[in-house]
Amino acid sequence: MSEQAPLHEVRPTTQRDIPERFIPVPIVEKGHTFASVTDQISSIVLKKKTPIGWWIGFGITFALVQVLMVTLARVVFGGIGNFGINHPVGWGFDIINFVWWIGIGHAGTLISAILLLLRQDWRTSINRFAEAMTLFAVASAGLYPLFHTGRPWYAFWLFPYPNTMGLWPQFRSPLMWDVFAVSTYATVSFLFWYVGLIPDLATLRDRARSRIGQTIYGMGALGWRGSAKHWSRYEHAYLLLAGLSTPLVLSVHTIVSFDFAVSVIPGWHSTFFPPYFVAGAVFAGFAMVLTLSIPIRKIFKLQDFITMKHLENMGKVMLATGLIVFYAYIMEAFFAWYSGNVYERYMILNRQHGPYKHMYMMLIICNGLAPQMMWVKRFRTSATMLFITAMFVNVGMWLERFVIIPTSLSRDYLPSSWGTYHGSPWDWSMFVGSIGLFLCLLFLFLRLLPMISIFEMRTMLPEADVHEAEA
Amino acid sequence: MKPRTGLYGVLAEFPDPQSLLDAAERTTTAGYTNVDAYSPFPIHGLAEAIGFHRSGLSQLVLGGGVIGGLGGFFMCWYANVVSYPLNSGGKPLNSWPAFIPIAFECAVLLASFAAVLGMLGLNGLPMPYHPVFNVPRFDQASRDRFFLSIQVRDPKFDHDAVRGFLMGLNATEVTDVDW
Amino acid sequence: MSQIGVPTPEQRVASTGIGRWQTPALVIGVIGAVLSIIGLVVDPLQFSRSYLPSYLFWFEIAAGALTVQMLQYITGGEWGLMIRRPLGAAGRTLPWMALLFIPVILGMKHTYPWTNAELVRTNEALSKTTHYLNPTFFIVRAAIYFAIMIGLSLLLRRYARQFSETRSPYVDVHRRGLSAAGILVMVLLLTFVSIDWQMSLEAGWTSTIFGISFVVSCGLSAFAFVVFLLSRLAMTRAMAEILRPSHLRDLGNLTLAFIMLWAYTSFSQFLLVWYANLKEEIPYYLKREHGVWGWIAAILIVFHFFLPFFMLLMRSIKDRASTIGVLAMIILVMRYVDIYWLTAPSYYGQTFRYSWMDLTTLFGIGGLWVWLFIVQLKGQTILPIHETWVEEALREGAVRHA
Repeated sequence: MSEQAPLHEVRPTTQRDIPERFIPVPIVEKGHTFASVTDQISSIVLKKKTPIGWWIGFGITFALVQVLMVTLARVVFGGIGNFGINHPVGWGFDIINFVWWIGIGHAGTLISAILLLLRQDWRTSINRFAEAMTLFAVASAGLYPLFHTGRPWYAFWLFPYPNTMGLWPQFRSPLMWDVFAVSTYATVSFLFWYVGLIPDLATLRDRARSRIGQTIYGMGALGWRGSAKHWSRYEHAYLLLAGLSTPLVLSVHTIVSFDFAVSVIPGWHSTFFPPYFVAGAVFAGFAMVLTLSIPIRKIFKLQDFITMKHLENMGKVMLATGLIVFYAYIMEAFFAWYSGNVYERYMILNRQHGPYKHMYMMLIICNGLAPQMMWVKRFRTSATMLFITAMFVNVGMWLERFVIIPTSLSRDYLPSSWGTYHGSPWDWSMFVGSIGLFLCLLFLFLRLLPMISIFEMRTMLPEADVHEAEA
Repeated sequence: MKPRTGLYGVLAEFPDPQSLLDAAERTTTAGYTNVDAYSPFPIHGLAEAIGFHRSGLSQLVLGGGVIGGLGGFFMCWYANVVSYPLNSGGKPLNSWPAFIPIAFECAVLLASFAAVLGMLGLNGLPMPYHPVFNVPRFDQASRDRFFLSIQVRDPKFDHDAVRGFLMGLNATEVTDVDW
Repeated sequence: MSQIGVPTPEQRVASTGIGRWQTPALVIGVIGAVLSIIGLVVDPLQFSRSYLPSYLFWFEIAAGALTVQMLQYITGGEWGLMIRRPLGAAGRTLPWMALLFIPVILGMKHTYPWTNAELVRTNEALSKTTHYLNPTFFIVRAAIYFAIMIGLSLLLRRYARQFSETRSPYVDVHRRGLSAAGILVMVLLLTFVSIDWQMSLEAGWTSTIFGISFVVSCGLSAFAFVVFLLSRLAMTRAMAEILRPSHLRDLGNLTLAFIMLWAYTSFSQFLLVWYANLKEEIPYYLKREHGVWGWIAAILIVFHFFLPFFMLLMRSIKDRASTIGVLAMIILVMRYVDIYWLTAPSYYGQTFRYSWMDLTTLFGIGGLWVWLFIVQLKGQTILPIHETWVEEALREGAVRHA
């Protein structure tokens, strides 16, 4: 230690008066205790009186679910000819919306699993809510392929079971991979979500005053009593689940992209599709988390727990994934030209100048340009600007799937078989209905289960820090 | 099974995580072995302080993953090569690259089930009844209170000595727990 | 109480003993270079074909190091501190990598099919892309790539200097801004590097994931290299007290992530090409899956993915410098095998060839590169101890007992 060193090399952080912008923003606002965190979050669920705003929101979305029901009945009884699909576009809104919803779901798993592995503490305030969003998005997504089969009551044929027909599913088909990927994803997401809920259900069991609440939350809590041994295994299992969910979430959208990329359709057969779809999914998902959490934190007065730091970080993730998506657009165009392949080159020209050129223009504006606002710190830290950007992305990601699916299908190799595609009213009503289903389930979740992980919020408080005795 | 009766153990209550951790360490040092600590959130080092070490969960999950992966691949291979061979796209019957996605999904599925069921199984959950729930204050264990129990089956257990010992650890309250 | 900011003599690079490797590296480099020059005289065709994969191997480490350096400025974290100086030094070898690129340019006509006017005329795909794939533009682009990369590494160097003098948090913010933009630039740049230098070896073959695959490979090479270096330094007095198992574990996890990404991009590309079975695409893999090339592919699956994957899942291997060092070495070797497998079949076809010049160029460039790397690393502390948040990062016990 006798080495001579200039003073500034000795104490690097002695700088006084550090400007405010360099002081880290806390994850939980100051002044909270274990009790106040517990009581504030659990009271949203346990209080007797349901806010009028909730009833209005639930009522509207429940009405939209009825729109969905009517559409499904129409499609089941009248056949999928009610949708706008026909030769040459056999995949229309159903697949667009399926991919859109699945993509939205991915942010939930990303927040709960990948950010956990990366030790990003700020995920704690939003992971429960985002995981619930995943489940409901997957539920909405699952409707589409199910009803697109035309005979949903035979859907179980997709699963491998020994049957009297002596048949097996065709496991080489990417549509079978989809069945496995999406059902695994739904199952594991549910497990992850439920495991995260167990300690909080115990809190609700102990806090609930009504007999029925005590019973139902008590059954869900499985007799959780917070034993140190249990916590140890619990944390271990949670970490393992996070480690498993991370490759799983990547694989799901990868397999969704395989649905397209294994084919030889220009605009579909691109080896970059797997990472491109995954990035797009995360992009869309974070946009949806922002879209939902900005109003919810205001309505339920959760600004102490979902702080500007959370919103800003989500904005950053949206920017990063948006740039990957933008990279994909550039590469698609460059490689179409570079390959020298006449069909590939035409595919890009068709997108830019063909019948769906407005879609492509809007796509570039929504997904390529709008997220660039997130470079500016002032926009990243403004709830309004974040909300606007997120809405752009929500629309943009839907357009992206539209540009990929019908635009490519409507004009492939043979000009004699070209056609045009438009969604029918039933396509739109199913889309609106599935948004209704998603939001309706979300409203039920907000009222019935804690939307923020209570026990993880407790660990975020400074009082939770302990130091072990020196051995 | 006949319901058990009598004393389960002694439960001490602490106001904050640090005092629980200190108490747990001193309890173990004092030679008690059938000890459990209860807290509203995981406390780093608490399980180790009461003499608990890592479980075999990793091995279970690895086993689940390997069985799932191999099983998934076998399922595809058996169905599309042996039981119902069908030429699709001029690919060889054993078109292994096409079986990898499903094998992967099955691996993740089984490994996840192993993690969740393994955790619940090793923890002995679900367990709707447990004597510590008989203590009225224990419902604060899921809010902001911290508890430590020493059980009757501990070889060193002596009712008065244990009560005195726990009192000496700065517990705010010490209660007997009945079965 | 320790004074964390004070550079003890042990923390100077000179005392890590890394200087001992300098002369041997230079000797190996010169011997390799001399032998390679003999090879160039004897058989210029073979020389050019051997030089390219060897060059790409060392280039990936240098370019990957520059990218990872910017990545750790953005993410923060202690793992970044442990490897920041080696990453910077590796990035600053890029001006010399530009010099070493000259043989690739001179041997262009032996390696790249689009330099062959006859072939370009008959090949439909090539004939349409002559605006892009022609010798002049190829050289111009390479010059631009190197100018940008050298510029970035110099800028980072300047920020580091400025930071050590002013210690203003604004410098740190600017550096992070530069890094965010720099990563973006590097991803695009390396994509085009991969198209120009590696993909265009295969006439008319394209794959849109190739660029990202190359970026991932660069990152993996850089991580494997610095982890290997760190595992050697772990026993020295400079690092023994600072480096903790958790640092190695973090680096191991990051390496694991890159291993998985490499497998992911490689398998995706293979599956999609294999499945679609198009006549423009499938020959690429037909060449590479038969005979010795097929065995090499199998070796890559086992040693470039499965072995490191399972090893890096185990804490007992990640946490120990001795074991993770061996693993990093395996990964580095596999990086070369992978590059050779991607590059060489493009000119040899299905027949496997491995020339003595492949070895002399590999060790020639390598020796010189390692020598340059050590030159860049020397004259500073092995840890960036003057950086503002080092104190905070190391507070948690790293030097607590000192």
